[in-house]
Amino acid sequence: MRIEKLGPALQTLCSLLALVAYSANGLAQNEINLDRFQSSVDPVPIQLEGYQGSVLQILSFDLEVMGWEVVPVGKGQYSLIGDNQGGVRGRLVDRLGGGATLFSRQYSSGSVRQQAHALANAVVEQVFRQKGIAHTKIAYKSRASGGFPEIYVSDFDGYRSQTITRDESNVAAPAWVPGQLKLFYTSYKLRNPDIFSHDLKTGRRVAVSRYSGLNTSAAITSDGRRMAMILSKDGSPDLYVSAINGSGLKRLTKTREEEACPCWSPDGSQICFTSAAGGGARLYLIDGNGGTMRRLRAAGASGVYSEPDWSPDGRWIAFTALMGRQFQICVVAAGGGEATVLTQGEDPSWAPNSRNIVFMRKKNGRKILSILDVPTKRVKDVPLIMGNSSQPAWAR
Amino acid sequence: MNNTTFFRVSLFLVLLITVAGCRKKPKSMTPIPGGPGSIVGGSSEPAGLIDFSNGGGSGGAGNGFNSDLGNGASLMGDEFPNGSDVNFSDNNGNGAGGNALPDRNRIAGASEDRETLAAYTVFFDYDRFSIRTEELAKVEAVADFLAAETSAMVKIEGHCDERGTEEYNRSLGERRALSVREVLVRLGIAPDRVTTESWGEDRPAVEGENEGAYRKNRRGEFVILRQ
Repeated sequence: MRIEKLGPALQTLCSLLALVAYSANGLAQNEINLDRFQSSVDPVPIQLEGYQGSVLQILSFDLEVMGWEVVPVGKGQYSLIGDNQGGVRGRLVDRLGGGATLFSRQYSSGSVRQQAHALANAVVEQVFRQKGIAHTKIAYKSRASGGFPEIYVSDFDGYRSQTITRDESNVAAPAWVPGQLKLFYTSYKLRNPDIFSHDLKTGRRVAVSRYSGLNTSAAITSDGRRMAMILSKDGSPDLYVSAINGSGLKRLTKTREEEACPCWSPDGSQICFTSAAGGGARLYLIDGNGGTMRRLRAAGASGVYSEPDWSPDGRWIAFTALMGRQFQICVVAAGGGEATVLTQGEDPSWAPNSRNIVFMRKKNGRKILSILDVPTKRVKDVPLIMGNSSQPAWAR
Repeated sequence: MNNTTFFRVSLFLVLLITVAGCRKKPKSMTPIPGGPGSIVGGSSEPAGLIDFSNGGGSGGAGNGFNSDLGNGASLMGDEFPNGSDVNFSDNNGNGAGGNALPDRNRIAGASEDRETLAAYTVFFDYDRFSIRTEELAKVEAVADFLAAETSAMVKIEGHCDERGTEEYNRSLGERRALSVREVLVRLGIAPDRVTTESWGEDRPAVEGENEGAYRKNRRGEFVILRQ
């Protein structure tokens, strides 16, 4: 998926070039410090020279999502110079650093789209020293007007979308098995909300939780072995865990009020979830093996809290707060503390870089997917996705 | 007739004990249109959509169900080959306890009648699942109906307005449906005759971003299930 596709020789060349560039330039000055997102960071200006059509479009989208701002020639701190005659080529120049060339690359294999994404990733990795997300995928729920909601998978920028379900009933809550082309989701296909696992390589799917009542909100640990979910079979919607095939079921909460929206800490030791047990819906933590529910303090937010998502680096929990009449995406340190309101929207899902968040927002009465760059607080809508789309899950 | 009277009196006593103080008028049981036993307009929606290849009858856990993800090679592409099979793991059992939900095999293949009890939809306050006092009479009437039509089961569909997130609302909708179920059980209906299904905010009764619409969408609907 990444540079591997470009062939071993080119890969070696790229690594060498990158190595030379790294050692030739002090890069730390452009690293983005996530702690600073309370006061947003300015995007880094870059000019794109020589690109046309879809390659220009892809480079612009990818870079602007990941903390850059594409500016007219002459205004950029950096310049990416190249063309897309044949394979995509690019030379990254640090215009403030005396015009030094940071790297020079040419891509020959893979589609033009993949090549452009690879170049965007290279720019991000070169300057921010963070892994790019231009080759990642998202899963989401979408309903065309007059149709049924189904699960879809697409590239993170909405291209190459594929229908995963054709259940013609209702679906919900897609969740990736980390590191695998495998999804868990809820489908009403069997006249009840049940949890299915779906291997996207083989197409095989299995109903892993089909108890009476509600089976929903599956979340899978980073090691791909355990599942947290919401079941109501014992008389109230509570939090349960099991092996990913549904065996070894264990009930973790026993409240009369509803629990919802579990997510795992990246090390698989804790679950963050929503519970209404304390009156209004708030976020709680519980040990993955069970124990006492502990309230996660998120000062500064208010209203109904739900949809927590733990960042892959383990440091942050993004969530949705209904504040007044508006849904807001918020983020709080995983240990609790002061919450920061980031932008209007619902259902945040972290990218593997722990920097970007895909979320749903209402635009002209329609549910669309958007991508937030947390440090700069810039938001870009995911293009191409039609109908009403929600519940995005970033593959990571 | 004597039996019916006795049953109504019993129901009333149970109700007095369980919801004492909550009711303004003791004699508020709203009759079912046409009365029990003479139901009109009971549409029998075919099971549709669900293609159990070996039926959903008694005992079987419904193996052999095939989800056709279609032969659209272009859709599944090279990364997503065709031919998904759905295999059931064997976990269809219910937890122990008097209030556990009925076994799903009992309702597999049942017809759904959404008309008969349509007027008895229970409405909820925002982000709440308790049954409002003025809504109790509707649940009583449904209990009355179920007491008379002893072979019928009922499904309570829980719904929410859009002022919650999708998965939170899926839990809240289920919690609402379970609250209605608890009242039916307290009124003497056997727990294994009452099932629940949450749709969260996915099936609003009316569209609109205003309190008038929200009020109509926070609801529990009764669907009669008949074999």
